[in-house]
Amino acid sequence: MTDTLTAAAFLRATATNRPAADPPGEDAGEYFAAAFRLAVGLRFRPDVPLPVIAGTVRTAAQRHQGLVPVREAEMLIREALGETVPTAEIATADAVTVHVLMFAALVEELALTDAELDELITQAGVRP
Amino acid sequence: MLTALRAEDRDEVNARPASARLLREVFAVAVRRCFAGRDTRDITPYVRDLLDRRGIPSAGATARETEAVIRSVLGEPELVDGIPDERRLGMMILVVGDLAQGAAREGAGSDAELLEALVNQAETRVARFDPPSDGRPWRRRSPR
Repeated sequence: MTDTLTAAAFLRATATNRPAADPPGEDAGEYFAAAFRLAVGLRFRPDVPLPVIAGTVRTAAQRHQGLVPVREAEMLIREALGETVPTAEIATADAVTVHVLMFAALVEELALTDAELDELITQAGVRP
Repeated sequence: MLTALRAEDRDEVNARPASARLLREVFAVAVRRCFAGRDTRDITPYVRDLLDRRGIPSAGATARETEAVIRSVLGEPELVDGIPDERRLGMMILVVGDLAQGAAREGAGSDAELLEALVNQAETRVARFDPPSDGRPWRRRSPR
């Protein structure tokens, strides 16, 4: 439960551009992945043109000064939309980076309110 | 260049900067003639099929990088950041050979003829877009 709360707080802090009080717990990865998938589903339709996805990834990569691995990020987004794409051999650290930073980028593009952001995080199984 | 493409041998290309430049043009011509105007998503199954036929793992990093190298000449150059040059050139040789073989199977000529045509067109493009060393092509030399 503590890990869940910490993960939620970390995700919320990242999405609202604030420093997190604590690092996420070791089991936070699955929460981040679930939140990422929900945000992808809200932001994109399955048939969205690839340049739209690529533009979102490019903007996030520029904002975070190269922290976002662009090829992996695009493939993880497309996988979340139901496509069969090559997502093997993505390092856990890269996947977590994509899930957290792209969640923040997608929430920003969706212009969610604080209440909507909390609702999304709650839906992902993370209670803020 | 033709020998390197036919043999899928990148050593010759790696050894000479001019060959690498020409290979990039050959690759751009081949990819654009096959994929320009099509849905970018068509590239993903093409790469998967290509790697499967060659016995190369098609679900991981090699597939992502090959797709990125192809898309880089279709307007997304940033996708290849972080892929070493030597690796890119190897992927280019693989794709050019495969596209030529695919076109040959569809009756466009023999793959050897197609490769030669691609190289000829690439050489024309290099001459067209590389400015001469003595100035811009549209600027007349000053009379002596």
